Amino acid sequence: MQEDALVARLRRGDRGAFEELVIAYQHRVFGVALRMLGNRAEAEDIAQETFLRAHRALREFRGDARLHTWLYAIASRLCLNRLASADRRLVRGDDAALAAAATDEPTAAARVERAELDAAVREAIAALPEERRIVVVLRDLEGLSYEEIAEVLELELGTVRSRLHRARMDLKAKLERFAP
Amino acid sequence: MTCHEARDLFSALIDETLTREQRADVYGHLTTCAECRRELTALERTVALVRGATPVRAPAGFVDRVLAAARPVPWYVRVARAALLPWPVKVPLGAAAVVLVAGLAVLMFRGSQEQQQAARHEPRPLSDRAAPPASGPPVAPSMPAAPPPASAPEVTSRPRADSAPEADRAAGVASRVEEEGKREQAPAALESRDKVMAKRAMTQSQPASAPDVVARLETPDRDTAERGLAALVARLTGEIIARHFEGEAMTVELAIPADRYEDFIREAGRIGTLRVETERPAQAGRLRILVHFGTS
Repeated sequence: MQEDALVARLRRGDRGAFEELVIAYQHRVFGVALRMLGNRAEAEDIAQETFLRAHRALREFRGDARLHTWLYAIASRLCLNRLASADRRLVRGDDAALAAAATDEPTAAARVERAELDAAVREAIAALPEERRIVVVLRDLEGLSYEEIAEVLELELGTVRSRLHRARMDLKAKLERFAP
Repeated sequence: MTCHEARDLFSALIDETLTREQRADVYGHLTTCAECRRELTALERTVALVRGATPVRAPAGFVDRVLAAARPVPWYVRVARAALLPWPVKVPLGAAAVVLVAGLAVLMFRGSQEQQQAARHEPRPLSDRAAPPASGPPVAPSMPAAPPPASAPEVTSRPRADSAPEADRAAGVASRVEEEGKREQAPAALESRDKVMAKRAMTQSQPASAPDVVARLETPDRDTAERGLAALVARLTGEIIARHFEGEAMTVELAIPADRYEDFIREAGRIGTLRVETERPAQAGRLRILVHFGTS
């Protein structure tokens, strides 16, 4: 997709352009929300809110940020706010519940090696502290560069680097049993 | 380079974000440290596991739901929604509104002392024969409606309207205007209040509300003084509202036009020794006065 051309059409209020934007980014935005929140209904809620906010603010989109980093920034902020809210804190207190919520594959599918591995990765990510989780999701699952992550989360590059490394070390400890 | 320093750079090494110098240092360490080589391999495997996870897909219909939510709602739909609120919403809303209005009405009526005073402002005149004068030796009264202030002004002072500051007079007028307003709002309720008041005065022989003025009249002969007071009140176009008795003590409750207050003070001072004990700020209309009788 030609991002610049899409941005130009979006800023003109082209409804077709907005539809293209949602189609193009739905899985990425939903993916970040699901990895962060571990609950499909909540993830859909946040993903939808991300696009609605983008829709309202499209005319003010200055274009000095890339469209995808802008969307990731909105989604990340919404996820972190949701996780910081009082009722989410109660859920966060029970890591096992959060990890279980992250596993939305049926139990039967867990017998398949791939599915089991996916479930293990998801659980391990869900167990990470939120500020490390968002960094590893954006880097290893969404493929953003360190610089883009720093821009999305408004962090120093060094902070991104150290949080990512700590997140990976945590994951290594949890996923070692899957090592060949 | 120590093991700790080398391991801190492993993530950046995997992501190829190290400078050439840093990379050389890390590789230099790895050639001499088998433990760090194993550690790096394990970390690379972990990153590969995470990156290899099956990508998440948004649920079916997600795009349509977002587009529907982003569509602006036309004005006529918004109006129709507001007008066609479902009954389960409308009925409690209506009930809540009724309760709110009723509650506010009660609060407005009973809210303040000033409003209560307005309700009591013109009580029904009671018969002068409500209670006969007590016989026996006169005794100093012992039931003041309000405690007398430390320095009660003497009768010779000019305490009322003419000497009151302009501000007080304005406040009095404003208060009177407000009283009139209140009375217009609920005349029936006020009338019934007056009846209750009058009944209480007769049955309990107690002044029921705070009067505008409380005075003490010391005379050698209470019966004569009382008759003189009644005559004075009649002359000033006022009225005796009630006589209250507590043991041997007597208090006369009366009302006079506010603009005759000075005449009242002057003339009552001739009947006996008059001390004004409490006095509310000057106001127009009628003044309700309690006179405690005592013997001098």
